[in-house]
Amino acid sequence: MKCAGQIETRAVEESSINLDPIQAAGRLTPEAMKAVIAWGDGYSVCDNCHKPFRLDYVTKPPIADFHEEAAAWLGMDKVQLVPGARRAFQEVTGALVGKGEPVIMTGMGHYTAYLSVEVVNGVVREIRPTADHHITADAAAESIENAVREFGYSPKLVFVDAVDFMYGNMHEVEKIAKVAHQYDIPVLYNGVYTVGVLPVDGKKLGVDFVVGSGHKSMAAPAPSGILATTDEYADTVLRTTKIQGDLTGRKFGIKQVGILGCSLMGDPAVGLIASFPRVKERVNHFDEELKNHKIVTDALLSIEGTKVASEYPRKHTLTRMDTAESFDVVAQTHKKRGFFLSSALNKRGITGIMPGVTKQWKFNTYGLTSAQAEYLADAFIEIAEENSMVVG
Amino acid sequence: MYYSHCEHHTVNYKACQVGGVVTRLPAEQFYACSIQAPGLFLLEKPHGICAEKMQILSKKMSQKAIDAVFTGLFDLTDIRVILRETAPLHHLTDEQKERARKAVGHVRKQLEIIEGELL
Repeated sequence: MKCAGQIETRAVEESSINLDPIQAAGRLTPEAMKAVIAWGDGYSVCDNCHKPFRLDYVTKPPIADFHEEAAAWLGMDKVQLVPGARRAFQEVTGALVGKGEPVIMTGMGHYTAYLSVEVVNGVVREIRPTADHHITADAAAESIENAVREFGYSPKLVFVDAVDFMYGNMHEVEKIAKVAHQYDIPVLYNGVYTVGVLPVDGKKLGVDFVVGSGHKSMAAPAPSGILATTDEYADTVLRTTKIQGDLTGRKFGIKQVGILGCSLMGDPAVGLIASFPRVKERVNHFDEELKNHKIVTDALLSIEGTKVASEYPRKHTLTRMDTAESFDVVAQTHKKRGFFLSSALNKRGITGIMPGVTKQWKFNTYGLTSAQAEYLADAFIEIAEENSMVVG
Repeated sequence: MYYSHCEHHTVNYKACQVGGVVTRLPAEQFYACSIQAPGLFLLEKPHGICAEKMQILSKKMSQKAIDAVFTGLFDLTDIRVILRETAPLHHLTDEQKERARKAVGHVRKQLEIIEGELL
Protein backbone atom coordinates (compact mmCIF):
# COMPACT_ATOMS: atom_id res chain seq x y z
CA MET A 1 0.00 0.00 0.00
CA LYS A 2 1.35 3.41 -0.97
CA CYS A 3 0.93 6.36 1.36
CA ALA A 4 1.97 8.94 -1.23
CA GLY A 5 3.28 8.69 -4.78
CA GLN A 6 5.83 5.90 -4.86
CA ILE A 7 6.29 5.89 -1.08
CA GLU A 8 5.21 2.69 0.57
CA THR A 9 3.28 2.78 3.82
CA ARG A 10 5.59 1.49 6.51
CA ALA A 11 3.80 -1.15 8.53
CA VAL A 12 6.78 -3.11 9.85
CA GLU A 13 5.77 -2.67 13.47
CA GLU A 14 2.11 -3.55 12.79
CA SER A 15 2.90 -6.67 10.80
CA SER A 16 6.04 -8.06 12.45
CA ILE A 17 8.09 -8.47 15.56
CA ASN A 18 10.98 -6.13 14.80
CA LEU A 19 14.30 -7.08 16.41
CA ASP A 20 16.43 -4.39 14.78
CA PRO A 21 18.91 -3.43 17.51
CA ILE A 22 18.78 0.29 16.81
CA GLN A 23 15.04 0.57 16.31
CA ALA A 24 13.54 -1.17 19.33
CA ALA A 25 13.43 1.60 21.93
CA GLY A 26 12.75 4.31 19.39
CA ARG A 27 9.33 2.94 18.48
CA LEU A 28 6.79 5.64 19.21
CA THR A 29 4.49 5.53 22.19
CA PRO A 30 0.76 5.88 21.43
CA GLU A 31 1.03 9.46 22.69
CA ALA A 32 3.81 10.30 20.23
CA MET A 33 1.93 8.61 17.38
CA LYS A 34 -1.00 10.93 18.04
CA ALA A 35 1.13 14.02 18.53
CA VAL A 36 2.91 13.58 15.21
CA ILE A 37 -0.43 13.51 13.42
CA ALA A 38 -1.19 16.98 14.73
CA TRP A 39 2.26 18.62 14.67
CA GLY A 40 3.75 17.58 11.33
CA ASP A 41 3.55 20.97 9.64
CA GLY A 42 6.99 22.55 9.20
CA TYR A 43 7.26 25.30 11.80
CA SER A 44 4.34 24.07 13.91
CA VAL A 45 6.09 24.60 17.25
CA CYS A 46 6.63 28.24 16.36
CA ASP A 47 2.90 29.15 16.51
CA ASN A 48 3.43 30.60 19.96
CA CYS A 49 7.06 31.63 19.87
CA HIS A 50 7.34 34.99 21.59
CA LYS A 51 10.26 36.99 22.91
CA PRO A 52 13.05 36.02 23.45
CA PHE A 53 12.33 33.85 20.38
CA ARG A 54 14.05 30.65 21.36
CA LEU A 55 12.78 27.11 21.23
CA ASP A 56 13.36 26.31 24.90
CA TYR A 57 11.19 29.27 25.93
CA VAL A 58 8.10 28.07 24.04
CA THR A 59 5.35 27.13 26.49
CA LYS A 60 2.71 25.94 23.98
CA PRO A 61 3.45 23.13 23.35
CA PRO A 62 5.24 22.69 26.71
CA ILE A 63 8.81 22.72 25.38
CA ALA A 64 10.06 24.96 28.19
CA ASP A 65 8.66 22.63 30.84
CA PHE A 66 10.22 19.66 29.09
CA HIS A 67 13.68 21.22 29.31
CA GLU A 68 13.37 21.66 33.06
CA GLU A 69 11.85 18.25 33.71
CA ALA A 70 14.37 16.42 31.55
CA ALA A 71 17.32 18.08 33.28
CA ALA A 72 15.98 17.10 36.71
CA TRP A 73 15.18 13.59 35.49
CA LEU A 74 18.80 13.08 34.38
CA GLY A 75 20.28 14.67 37.50
CA MET A 76 21.76 17.48 35.44
CA ASP A 77 21.31 21.26 35.41
CA LYS A 78 20.52 22.14 31.80
CA VAL A 79 19.10 20.31 28.82
CA GLN A 80 18.97 21.16 25.14
CA LEU A 81 16.97 19.40 22.48
CA VAL A 82 19.16 18.36 19.56
CA PRO A 83 18.54 16.70 16.20
CA GLY A 84 20.12 13.41 17.20
CA ALA A 85 22.88 12.43 19.65
CA ARG A 86 25.52 13.07 17.01
CA ARG A 87 24.67 16.77 17.02
CA ALA A 88 25.16 16.80 20.78
CA PHE A 89 28.62 15.24 20.31
CA GLN A 90 29.38 17.90 17.72
CA GLU A 91 28.17 20.70 19.95
CA VAL A 92 30.41 19.57 22.80
CA THR A 93 33.51 19.03 20.67
CA GLY A 94 32.81 22.35 18.94
CA ALA A 95 32.98 24.10 22.29
CA LEU A 96 35.80 22.20 23.96
CA VAL A 97 38.17 20.81 21.35
CA GLY A 98 40.56 22.78 19.18
CA LYS A 99 42.67 21.89 16.17
CA GLY A 100 45.11 19.07 16.89
CA GLU A 101 43.85 18.60 20.45
CA PRO A 102 43.30 15.08 21.77
CA VAL A 103 40.00 13.49 22.74
CA ILE A 104 39.76 10.12 24.49
CA MET A 105 37.28 7.74 22.92
CA THR A 106 36.36 4.17 23.76
CA GLY A 107 37.41 1.70 21.10
CA MET A 108 33.76 0.67 20.88
CA GLY A 109 32.34 4.11 20.18
CA HIS A 110 29.86 5.07 17.47
CA TYR A 111 31.39 6.45 14.28
CA THR A 112 29.64 9.79 14.76
CA ALA A 113 31.59 10.33 17.97
CA TYR A 114 34.81 10.00 15.97
CA LEU A 115 33.46 12.31 13.27
CA SER A 116 32.51 14.90 15.88
CA VAL A 117 36.21 15.11 16.74
CA GLU A 118 37.26 15.14 13.11
CA VAL A 119 34.92 18.01 12.27
CA VAL A 120 36.79 20.27 14.69
CA ASN A 121 40.16 18.91 13.48
CA GLY A 122 40.79 17.22 16.80
CA VAL A 123 42.70 13.99 17.34
CA VAL A 124 41.30 10.73 18.70
CA ARG A 125 43.11 8.54 21.17
CA GLU A 126 41.26 5.35 21.99
CA ILE A 127 40.75 3.29 25.12
CA ARG A 128 41.53 -0.31 24.27
CA PRO A 129 38.64 -2.68 25.04
CA THR A 130 39.36 -5.78 27.12
CA ALA A 131 39.28 -9.23 25.55
CA ASP A 132 35.71 -9.62 26.80
CA HIS A 133 34.68 -6.33 25.17
CA HIS A 134 34.59 -3.99 28.14
CA ILE A 135 35.99 -0.53 28.68
CA THR A 136 37.63 -0.27 32.08
CA ALA A 137 38.83 2.63 34.22
CA ASP A 138 42.35 1.16 34.21
CA ALA A 139 42.46 1.16 30.43
CA ALA A 140 41.07 4.70 30.40
CA ALA A 141 43.78 5.86 32.79
CA GLU A 142 46.42 4.31 30.56
CA SER A 143 45.07 6.08 27.45
CA ILE A 144 44.91 9.40 29.27
CA GLU A 145 48.46 9.00 30.58
CA ASN A 146 49.72 8.15 27.09
CA ALA A 147 47.97 11.20 25.65
CA VAL A 148 49.39 13.49 28.33
CA ARG A 149 52.89 12.22 27.51
CA GLU A 150 52.31 12.60 23.78
CA PHE A 151 50.71 16.05 23.77
CA GLY A 152 52.17 17.59 26.90
CA TYR A 153 48.75 18.43 28.31
CA SER A 154 45.51 16.64 29.26
CA PRO A 155 43.02 15.57 26.61
CA LYS A 156 40.11 17.95 26.17
CA LEU A 157 37.29 15.45 26.56
CA VAL A 158 36.56 11.80 27.37
CA PHE A 159 33.71 10.03 25.59
CA VAL A 160 32.27 7.03 27.45
CA ASP A 161 29.62 4.73 26.03
CA ALA A 162 27.35 3.56 28.82
CA VAL A 163 26.23 0.63 26.69
CA ASP A 164 28.03 0.04 23.41
CA PHE A 165 26.35 -0.70 20.10
CA MET A 166 28.58 -3.66 19.26
CA TYR A 167 27.84 -5.96 22.19
CA GLY A 168 25.32 -4.11 24.32
CA ASN A 169 27.80 -4.39 27.20
CA MET A 170 27.79 -2.02 30.17
CA HIS A 171 30.98 -0.12 30.94
CA GLU A 172 32.57 1.43 34.04
CA VAL A 173 31.29 4.95 33.52
CA GLU A 174 31.45 6.10 37.12
CA LYS A 175 35.02 4.87 37.63
CA ILE A 176 36.16 6.24 34.28
CA ALA A 177 34.65 9.64 35.16
CA LYS A 178 36.59 9.66 38.43
CA VAL A 179 39.83 8.92 36.59
CA ALA A 180 39.17 11.61 33.96
CA HIS A 181 38.37 14.21 36.60
CA GLN A 182 41.72 13.56 38.27
CA TYR A 183 43.16 15.06 35.10
CA ASP A 184 40.47 17.79 34.97
CA ILE A 185 39.03 16.30 31.81
CA PRO A 186 35.26 16.66 31.27
CA VAL A 187 33.35 13.45 30.59
CA LEU A 188 30.62 12.90 28.02
CA TYR A 189 28.28 10.03 28.86
CA ASN A 190 26.98 8.55 25.63
CA GLY A 191 23.58 7.27 26.71
CA VAL A 192 22.02 6.50 23.37
CA TYR A 193 21.16 2.98 24.58
CA THR A 194 20.36 3.95 28.16
CA VAL A 195 18.63 7.35 28.39
CA GLY A 196 14.94 6.51 28.02
CA VAL A 197 15.51 2.81 28.61
CA LEU A 198 16.90 2.52 32.14
CA PRO A 199 17.48 5.01 34.98
CA VAL A 200 20.33 7.47 34.38
CA ASP A 201 21.59 9.96 36.96
CA GLY A 202 24.36 12.15 35.59
CA LYS A 203 25.26 13.64 38.97
CA LYS A 204 25.59 10.24 40.57
CA LEU A 205 27.74 9.06 37.69
CA GLY A 206 29.84 12.21 38.02
CA VAL A 207 29.73 13.08 34.34
CA ASP A 208 29.66 16.53 32.75
CA PHE A 209 27.48 15.74 29.74
CA VAL A 210 24.69 13.23 29.23
CA VAL A 211 23.66 12.57 25.66
CA GLY A 212 20.47 10.70 24.80
CA SER A 213 18.97 9.71 21.49
CA GLY A 214 15.28 10.39 20.94
CA HIS A 215 14.92 8.06 17.99
CA LYS A 216 17.06 5.30 19.47
CA SER A 217 15.83 5.15 23.04
CA MET A 218 13.22 7.78 23.85
CA ALA A 219 10.35 6.68 21.61
CA ALA A 220 10.64 9.74 19.41
CA PRO A 221 10.75 10.46 15.68
CA ALA A 222 14.13 11.02 14.03
CA PRO A 223 16.19 13.07 14.24
CA SER A 224 15.91 13.86 17.91
CA GLY A 225 17.95 13.72 21.07
CA ILE A 226 19.02 15.60 24.14
CA LEU A 227 22.19 17.10 25.49
CA ALA A 228 22.28 17.58 29.25
CA THR A 229 25.04 19.34 31.10
CA THR A 230 26.01 21.01 34.35
CA ASP A 231 25.94 24.71 35.20
CA GLU A 232 29.73 24.57 35.02
CA TYR A 233 29.74 23.74 31.32
CA ALA A 234 26.43 25.27 30.21
CA ASP A 235 27.92 28.73 29.67
CA THR A 236 30.57 27.30 27.36
CA VAL A 237 28.73 24.60 25.47
CA LEU A 238 25.29 26.23 25.33
CA ARG A 239 26.72 29.72 24.86
CA THR A 240 24.63 32.44 23.25
CA THR A 241 25.51 34.51 20.21
CA LYS A 242 27.58 37.67 20.38
CA ILE A 243 28.12 38.16 16.67
CA GLN A 244 27.06 41.35 14.95
CA GLY A 245 26.75 42.29 11.29
CA ASP A 246 29.41 44.80 10.35
CA LEU A 247 27.20 46.80 7.96
CA THR A 248 23.75 46.30 9.38
CA GLY A 249 24.68 45.97 13.04
CA ARG A 250 22.31 43.03 13.24
CA LYS A 251 22.40 40.93 16.41
CA PHE A 252 20.62 37.69 17.11
CA GLY A 253 19.33 37.83 20.65
CA ILE A 254 20.00 34.76 22.75
CA LYS A 255 20.24 32.17 20.01
CA GLN A 256 22.64 29.38 20.93
CA VAL A 257 25.75 29.19 18.78
CA GLY A 258 26.74 25.56 19.11
CA ILE A 259 23.52 24.24 17.59
CA LEU A 260 22.94 27.22 15.25
CA GLY A 261 19.87 28.63 17.01
CA CYS A 262 16.64 26.74 17.50
CA SER A 263 17.62 23.13 17.51
CA LEU A 264 14.65 20.84 17.09
CA MET A 265 11.19 21.56 15.74
CA GLY A 266 8.01 19.94 14.50
CA ASP A 267 7.32 16.25 14.90
CA PRO A 268 10.73 15.25 16.31
CA ALA A 269 10.42 17.77 19.15
CA VAL A 270 6.74 17.24 19.92
CA GLY A 271 6.94 13.47 19.51
CA LEU A 272 9.76 13.30 22.01
CA ILE A 273 7.90 15.49 24.49
CA ALA A 274 4.67 13.54 24.03
CA SER A 275 6.48 10.28 24.83
CA PHE A 276 8.33 11.73 27.79
CA PRO A 277 5.84 10.92 30.60
CA ARG A 278 5.68 7.28 29.51
CA VAL A 279 9.45 7.14 28.95
CA LYS A 280 10.09 8.48 32.46
CA GLU A 281 7.89 5.72 33.79
CA ARG A 282 9.20 2.88 31.65
CA VAL A 283 12.82 3.25 32.78
CA ASN A 284 11.67 1.98 36.17
CA HIS A 285 10.60 -1.31 34.63
CA PHE A 286 13.73 -2.33 32.79
CA ASP A 287 13.82 -5.55 34.82
CA GLU A 288 10.66 -6.66 33.00
CA GLU A 289 12.39 -6.01 29.68
CA LEU A 290 15.32 -8.15 30.81
CA LYS A 291 12.92 -10.90 31.84
CA ASN A 292 11.40 -10.97 28.34
CA HIS A 293 14.88 -10.86 26.83
CA LYS A 294 15.89 -13.89 28.91
CA ILE A 295 12.99 -15.90 27.50
CA VAL A 296 14.56 -15.45 24.06
CA THR A 297 18.23 -15.91 25.00
CA ASP A 298 17.36 -19.06 27.01
CA ALA A 299 15.67 -20.51 23.94
CA LEU A 300 18.62 -19.63 21.73
CA LEU A 301 21.10 -21.09 24.22
CA SER A 302 19.16 -24.34 24.25
CA ILE A 303 20.20 -24.81 20.61
CA GLU A 304 23.47 -26.74 20.64
CA GLY A 305 26.53 -24.69 19.67
CA THR A 306 24.86 -21.33 20.29
CA LYS A 307 26.58 -18.78 22.53
CA VAL A 308 25.96 -15.26 23.73
CA ALA A 309 28.87 -13.13 22.50
CA SER A 310 27.90 -10.23 24.77
CA GLU A 311 28.47 -10.20 28.52
CA TYR A 312 26.32 -12.77 30.26
CA PRO A 313 23.99 -12.72 32.20
CA ARG A 314 22.58 -9.91 30.11
CA LYS A 315 22.21 -6.44 31.54
CA HIS A 316 20.72 -4.97 28.38
CA THR A 317 18.21 -6.06 25.75
CA LEU A 318 20.63 -5.45 22.87
CA THR A 319 22.60 -8.68 22.51
CA ARG A 320 25.13 -10.13 20.10
CA MET A 321 24.70 -13.85 19.50
CA ASP A 322 27.43 -16.20 18.34
CA THR A 323 25.88 -18.90 16.16
CA ALA A 324 29.00 -19.86 14.23
CA GLU A 325 28.65 -23.40 15.58
CA SER A 326 24.90 -23.68 15.14
CA PHE A 327 22.97 -21.67 12.51
CA ASP A 328 26.13 -21.00 10.50
CA VAL A 329 26.82 -24.74 10.24
CA VAL A 330 23.36 -25.18 8.69
CA ALA A 331 24.04 -22.26 6.34
CA GLN A 332 27.04 -24.07 4.82
CA THR A 333 24.77 -26.63 3.14
CA HIS A 334 21.36 -24.94 3.07
CA LYS A 335 20.09 -23.99 -0.42
CA LYS A 336 19.51 -20.43 0.80
CA ARG A 337 22.97 -20.38 2.39
CA GLY A 338 23.23 -17.69 5.07
CA PHE A 339 19.85 -16.27 4.18
CA PHE A 340 17.99 -19.28 5.51
CA LEU A 341 17.75 -17.83 9.02
CA SER A 342 16.34 -14.42 8.15
CA SER A 343 14.08 -16.07 5.59
CA ALA A 344 12.71 -18.55 8.15
CA LEU A 345 12.19 -15.72 10.63
CA ASN A 346 10.44 -13.57 8.02
CA LYS A 347 8.05 -16.42 7.29
CA ARG A 348 7.06 -16.26 10.94
CA GLY A 349 6.58 -12.49 10.94
CA ILE A 350 9.92 -11.69 12.55
CA THR A 351 12.24 -9.09 11.10
CA GLY A 352 15.22 -6.90 12.01
CA ILE A 353 18.07 -9.43 11.98
CA MET A 354 20.56 -8.71 9.24
CA PRO A 355 19.75 -10.95 6.24
CA GLY A 356 22.48 -13.38 5.25
CA VAL A 357 24.30 -13.28 8.58
CA THR A 358 24.58 -16.50 10.59
CA LYS A 359 27.94 -16.28 12.40
CA GLN A 360 27.34 -13.36 14.75
CA TRP A 361 24.26 -11.18 14.78
CA LYS A 362 22.59 -8.68 17.04
CA PHE A 363 19.01 -8.29 18.17
CA ASN A 364 17.05 -6.19 20.62
CA THR A 365 13.83 -7.27 22.32
CA TYR A 366 13.09 -3.94 24.00
CA GLY A 367 9.37 -3.18 24.08
CA LEU A 368 8.12 -6.65 23.22
CA THR A 369 5.27 -8.09 25.25
CA SER A 370 5.90 -11.35 27.08
CA ALA A 371 3.60 -13.10 24.58
CA GLN A 372 5.75 -11.79 21.73
CA ALA A 373 8.92 -12.91 23.54
CA GLU A 374 7.45 -16.42 23.94
CA TYR A 375 6.48 -16.47 20.26
CA LEU A 376 9.99 -15.43 19.30
CA ALA A 377 11.59 -18.07 21.52
CA ASP A 378 9.37 -20.77 20.00
CA ALA A 379 10.21 -19.55 16.50
CA PHE A 380 13.96 -19.96 17.04
CA ILE A 381 13.47 -23.47 18.44
CA GLU A 382 11.18 -24.40 15.54
CA ILE A 383 13.72 -23.18 12.99
CA ALA A 384 16.47 -25.16 14.72
CA GLU A 385 14.36 -28.32 14.76
CA GLU A 386 13.33 -27.90 11.13
CA ASN A 387 17.01 -27.90 10.26
CA SER A 388 17.84 -30.97 12.34
CA MET A 389 19.79 -29.03 14.95
CA VAL A 390 20.06 -30.43 18.46
CA VAL A 391 17.83 -28.64 20.95
CA GLY A 392 17.78 -29.46 24.61
CA MET B 1 -6.69 31.17 21.02
CA TYR B 2 -4.53 29.43 18.48
CA TYR B 3 -4.72 26.07 20.09
CA SER B 4 -7.76 24.00 20.51
CA HIS B 5 -7.27 23.68 24.24
CA CYS B 6 -8.86 20.63 25.65
CA GLU B 7 -11.42 22.48 27.71
CA HIS B 8 -12.72 24.05 24.50
CA HIS B 9 -13.07 20.80 22.70
CA THR B 10 -16.59 19.82 21.86
CA VAL B 11 -15.98 16.17 21.25
CA ASN B 12 -13.67 14.29 23.52
CA TYR B 13 -11.50 15.85 26.17
CA LYS B 14 -9.32 12.79 26.65
CA ALA B 15 -8.79 12.05 23.00
CA CYS B 16 -6.88 15.22 22.40
CA GLN B 17 -4.55 14.75 25.35
CA VAL B 18 -1.31 13.33 24.11
CA GLY B 19 1.40 13.30 26.74
CA GLY B 20 0.55 16.79 27.90
CA VAL B 21 0.82 18.09 24.35
CA VAL B 22 -2.31 19.81 23.14
CA THR B 23 -3.54 19.00 19.67
CA ARG B 24 -2.44 21.65 17.23
CA LEU B 25 -5.19 22.94 15.00
CA PRO B 26 -4.40 26.41 13.63
CA ALA B 27 -3.98 25.29 10.05
CA GLU B 28 -7.38 23.63 10.19
CA GLN B 29 -9.03 26.64 11.82
CA PHE B 30 -7.55 29.58 9.94
CA TYR B 31 -4.43 30.83 8.33
CA ALA B 32 -1.52 31.14 10.72
CA CYS B 33 -0.97 34.66 12.04
CA SER B 34 2.77 34.77 12.07
CA ILE B 35 5.64 35.25 9.72
CA GLN B 36 5.31 31.66 8.56
CA ALA B 37 2.41 32.75 6.37
CA PRO B 38 3.15 36.28 5.21
CA GLY B 39 0.42 38.09 3.35
CA LEU B 40 -2.42 36.02 4.66
CA PHE B 41 -5.53 37.74 5.85
CA LEU B 42 -4.92 37.57 9.58
CA LEU B 43 -1.40 38.84 9.45
CA GLU B 44 -1.94 42.52 10.02
CA LYS B 45 -1.83 42.44 13.82
CA PRO B 46 -0.19 40.26 16.38
CA HIS B 47 -1.86 37.49 18.22
CA GLY B 48 -4.43 39.49 20.23
CA ILE B 49 -6.39 40.51 17.15
CA CYS B 50 -6.22 37.00 15.80
CA ALA B 51 -7.81 35.74 18.99
CA GLU B 52 -10.79 38.05 18.53
CA LYS B 53 -11.18 37.10 14.90
CA MET B 54 -10.87 33.51 15.95
CA GLN B 55 -13.90 33.86 18.17
CA ILE B 56 -15.93 35.31 15.29
CA LEU B 57 -14.63 32.66 12.94
CA SER B 58 -15.40 29.85 15.31
CA LYS B 59 -19.10 30.54 14.87
CA LYS B 60 -18.79 30.15 11.13
CA MET B 61 -16.37 27.27 10.82
CA SER B 62 -16.92 23.72 11.87
CA GLN B 63 -14.93 23.24 15.04
CA LYS B 64 -16.88 20.03 15.53
CA ALA B 65 -15.66 18.64 12.21
CA ILE B 66 -12.06 19.53 13.00
CA ASP B 67 -12.27 17.92 16.42
CA ALA B 68 -13.98 14.85 14.99
CA VAL B 69 -11.24 14.35 12.39
CA PHE B 70 -8.49 14.43 15.01
CA THR B 71 -10.42 12.38 17.53
CA GLY B 72 -11.12 9.78 14.85
CA LEU B 73 -7.45 9.67 13.87
CA PHE B 74 -6.47 9.23 17.51
CA ASP B 75 -9.00 6.42 17.95
CA LEU B 76 -7.60 4.72 14.85
CA THR B 77 -4.17 5.13 16.38
CA ASP B 78 -5.37 3.20 19.41
CA ILE B 79 -6.26 0.35 17.06
CA ARG B 80 -2.85 0.68 15.41
CA VAL B 81 -1.26 0.28 18.84
CA ILE B 82 -3.18 -2.97 19.37
CA LEU B 83 -1.90 -4.25 16.01
CA ARG B 84 1.64 -3.51 17.19
CA GLU B 85 1.15 -5.17 20.56
CA THR B 86 -0.17 -8.34 18.96
CA ALA B 87 2.06 -8.61 15.88
CA PRO B 88 2.56 -10.79 13.98
CA LEU B 89 -0.49 -13.03 14.56
CA HIS B 90 -2.92 -10.41 15.87
CA HIS B 91 -4.56 -12.81 18.29
CA LEU B 92 -6.25 -10.35 20.63
CA THR B 93 -6.94 -11.04 24.29
CA ASP B 94 -10.41 -10.26 25.64
CA GLU B 95 -9.09 -7.00 27.04
CA GLN B 96 -7.55 -6.02 23.71
CA LYS B 97 -10.76 -6.95 21.89
CA GLU B 98 -12.69 -4.68 24.24
CA ARG B 99 -10.26 -1.82 23.62
CA ALA B 100 -10.52 -2.36 19.87
CA ARG B 101 -14.33 -2.51 20.05
CA LYS B 102 -14.46 0.77 21.95
CA ALA B 103 -12.10 2.47 19.51
CA VAL B 104 -14.11 1.27 16.51
CA GLY B 105 -17.25 2.66 18.13
CA HIS B 106 -15.56 6.01 18.71
CA VAL B 107 -14.37 6.17 15.11
CA ARG B 108 -17.93 5.51 13.87
CA LYS B 109 -19.19 8.34 16.06
CA GLN B 110 -16.61 10.75 14.69
CA LEU B 111 -17.49 9.80 11.11
CA GLU B 112 -21.13 10.59 11.85
CA ILE B 113 -20.16 14.00 13.18
CA ILE B 114 -18.05 14.69 10.12
CA GLU B 115 -20.90 13.67 7.79
CA GLY B 116 -23.33 15.83 9.74
CA GLU B 117 -21.07 18.83 9.76
CA LEU B 118 -19.60 18.81 6.27
CA LEU B 119 -21.86 16.90 3.89
